[in-house]
Amino acid sequence: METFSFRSLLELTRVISLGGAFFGFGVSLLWFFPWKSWSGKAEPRWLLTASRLLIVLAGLAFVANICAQTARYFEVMHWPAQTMYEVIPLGTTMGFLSTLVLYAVLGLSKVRGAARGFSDLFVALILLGCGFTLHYVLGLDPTGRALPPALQSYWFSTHITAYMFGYFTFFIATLAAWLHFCFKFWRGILQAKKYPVPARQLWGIGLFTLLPIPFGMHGILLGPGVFLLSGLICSVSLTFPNKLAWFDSWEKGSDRFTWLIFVVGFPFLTAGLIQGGLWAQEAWALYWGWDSKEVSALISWLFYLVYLHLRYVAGWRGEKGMAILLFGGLSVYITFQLFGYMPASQSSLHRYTDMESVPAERMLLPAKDFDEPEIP
Amino acid sequence: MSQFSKVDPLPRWGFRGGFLGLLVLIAWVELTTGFAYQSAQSSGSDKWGPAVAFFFCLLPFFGLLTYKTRWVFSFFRAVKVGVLNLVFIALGAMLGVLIHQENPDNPLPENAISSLAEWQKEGQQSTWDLGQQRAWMFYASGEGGQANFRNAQTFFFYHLIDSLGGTGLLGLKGDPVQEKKEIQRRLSGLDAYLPEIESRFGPELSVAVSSQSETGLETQIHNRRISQLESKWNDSMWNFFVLCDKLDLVRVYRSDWYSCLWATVFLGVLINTFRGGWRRLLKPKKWGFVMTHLGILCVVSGGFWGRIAEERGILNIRVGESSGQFQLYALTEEGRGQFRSFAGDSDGLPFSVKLDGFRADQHDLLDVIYVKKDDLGNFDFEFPLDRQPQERVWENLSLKYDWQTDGVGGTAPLLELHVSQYIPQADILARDDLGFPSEVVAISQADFYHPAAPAIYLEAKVGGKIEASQWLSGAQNELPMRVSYQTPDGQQRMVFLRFREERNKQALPVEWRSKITLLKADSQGHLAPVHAGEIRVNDYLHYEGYRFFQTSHDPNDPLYSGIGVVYDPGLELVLTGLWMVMLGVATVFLVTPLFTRQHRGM
Repeated sequence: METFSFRSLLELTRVISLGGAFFGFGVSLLWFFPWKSWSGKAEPRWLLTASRLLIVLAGLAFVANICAQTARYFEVMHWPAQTMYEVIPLGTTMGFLSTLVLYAVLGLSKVRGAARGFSDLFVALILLGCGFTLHYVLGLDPTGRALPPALQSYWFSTHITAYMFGYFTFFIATLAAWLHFCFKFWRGILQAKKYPVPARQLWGIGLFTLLPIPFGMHGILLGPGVFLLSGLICSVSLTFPNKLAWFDSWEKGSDRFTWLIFVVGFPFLTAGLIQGGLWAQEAWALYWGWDSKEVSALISWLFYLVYLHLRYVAGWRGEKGMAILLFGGLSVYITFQLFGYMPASQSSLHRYTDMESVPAERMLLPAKDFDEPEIP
Repeated sequence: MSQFSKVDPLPRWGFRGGFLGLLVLIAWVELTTGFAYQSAQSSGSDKWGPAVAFFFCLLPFFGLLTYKTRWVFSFFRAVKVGVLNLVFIALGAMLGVLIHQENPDNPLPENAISSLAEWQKEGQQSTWDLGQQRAWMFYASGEGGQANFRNAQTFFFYHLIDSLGGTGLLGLKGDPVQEKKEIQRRLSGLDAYLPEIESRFGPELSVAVSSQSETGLETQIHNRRISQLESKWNDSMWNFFVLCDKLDLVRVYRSDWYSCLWATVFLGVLINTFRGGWRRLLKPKKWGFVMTHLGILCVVSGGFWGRIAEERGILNIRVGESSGQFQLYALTEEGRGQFRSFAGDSDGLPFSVKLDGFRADQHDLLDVIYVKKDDLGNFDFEFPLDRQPQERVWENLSLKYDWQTDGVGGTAPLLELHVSQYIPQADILARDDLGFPSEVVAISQADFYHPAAPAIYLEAKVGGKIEASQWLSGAQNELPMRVSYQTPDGQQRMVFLRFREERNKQALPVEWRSKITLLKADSQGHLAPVHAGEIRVNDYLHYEGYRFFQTSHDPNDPLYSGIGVVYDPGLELVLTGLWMVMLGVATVFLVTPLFTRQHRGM
């Protein structure tokens, strides 16, 4: 196997990403530890160094993923974004890039204490998500395909890259909002008297945990996975003197936290949508054909447009706005990954990424006929 | 009492009021347009019906605007009404995605589905008219290669139920658990081949074979179940289809209620953008806001203009022919084709289109076929793949095969192929004794339309040394290059390398272009060229309001070109609006914060 092939570099990215994720979980838990009451001093310096190392690992994963995409470019001689085997790694590249951008925009390098633990947990979860995504990608059909005439355009690279940056940034926004609700749920259960949460909200959070399960591995990871992990962290925190008090500061800032992620992602989501229209005009002389993929992308954009206007103009701050971000993430996931199951998708003009999946019949074991009774 | 207290307080529109207001608006539009269609049908006039509807639609609006001006303005200005309107549009779009839609370019005739439903109730005596035939095709077999309603909806419902783990509850033939086991059992047959395929061709082919086989077997089972469900659910699906037709849910995007929602967006954006005076809009921090919202106004108004005035169709033409008209995609109510003449925007004079050249260029491929000799001396494929590995070819392409351990813990390829020269349109000047091209040159001044076959100079290295090198032509019936070598452990290998153009007629070409000339009659009535150009996908020709773009070709007729024709006077407005929205949003969220240092940190 080639050392600098797309596949080998993707495997390297996966290792860095998953390694970084588990390293990040460890570092994050250490930040939650009550150092002051244990040793009388603030957190040790090495913990801050370890925390910085986490973002360095995210940067390394980004570099490795960029190298993988470059290698793929030379393997297929076009912008590597035609099949899901190429598009999803482009998305994870954008996911790593978005993490680095958000690290600066959200000012995560400056926070200390339990808030730092929270930011490390956040970065670790993004790395875990990207790592699992790459693991999934490595099992997909890797056949390189030529670009059909409609895709031979300068819009091909900018349209898809802008979308990938927007999509993965909004997945991160969904994760941030979901973390908030999960911690709120567990605090409402574990410290019910001090922090009561209305039963309706608890049920809502419980239902949202189950909602992404039909979406497959990613849904299970985001729904029950993050839910249980946050429960574990809360349970561990209960044994500390301050219990879940660290969540107070996060709760106050979570609205702005998710808003800033939105601010980073929305221009790219808009750019992706508009560039799609401009490109469709050049390719088919039809800037908007009500193709089911286009409409699905429009629905996601409308979700975020509603969030923008409600938060910015109608003053919907806090959990009401964050709930929209949760569903926005699901909408983006449906557009990106589940679109092929929609009724009209079969005649969509956007079905370039599909492969003809013909089984290698002559290498398979012969089929059994189930209708024949088995001979004892 | 001050003067200001005499003014009524501005009505506040909340979600409940906005919801009711929008519903009333939609209901009113549906009612009046329905009335218009009825009166148009009964009067037999295309003009009076819409005119009456337009009058009745706008009458209450102007009434309200006159007597309740502030009330109307506050409705369109309210952010909650605007947000609800966006939610309605999103819900409409969701219906459009979840319910299979008519082809917007060629909609079914009015009442085609309901008349088919009536026909079914009446006892099935008369024969179907064309509208009924088309309605049935839309439901059961699909028009013009499109998916049909029954299959698309069954496909969706099946996969939804399957993702929730409820396939077992559908009462289908076959046990899902057993079928899953059967797939795994059959796939285990690959274990005997995959390690060797991986070492010979690299891990990607091995993963591809495994992944395609698994997906292919699963798809076969899904398709079988969907087809069973189609028959099982046929009656309920038909009722659902008729209901969707009654509620306009199979034509959401061209329904009047959906247009009404977009018109509300337009009014809301217009009023909100210009409220508070125009001076407010000149402030630099408002530039992004202004650009975005004006852009949306341009897109919506240009879209409406296009919807009214657009003509979209195809020019079916062969090389050497000329035509002064094109066929619209939409058929008449009676199912006949509609033709439109080309008439210039500037002088209104007709013009014709002449096709000077057309070519669909197929991909150039290199087949890499490992073969073995059986006991009788006959060649056979070494790997029983349904399709032997093939590579797309370009100059300086390097390919590596047969990975062997290199003694230092890694692996190295034993066979390396290198395309050192690639000539897209080659002239073979001489051949060697075996019949391989020995002297090849590029055809001078050959443009894209020249039909000559390509050629490559291929070098094959075994263990780092050149074993064979040869010119290979992509023309039909050319000889493949043969390379034989021995592996370090003494196994004999033989590989055939065949260079060719893609000959699968269903495959999309790599490129297709048409060369056209536009002709107009001069003062003596003679046709003279006024414009010429080349069109390809992603690069259309624009002349006098018409856009010509490459749409289709016929693999069985190399001289035929399908040229799409669009006349859309609202297009420039829409494109300008799109750019404004994209740049405006970037200005609001990226440019302005960078200069004002907003959005920095928590």
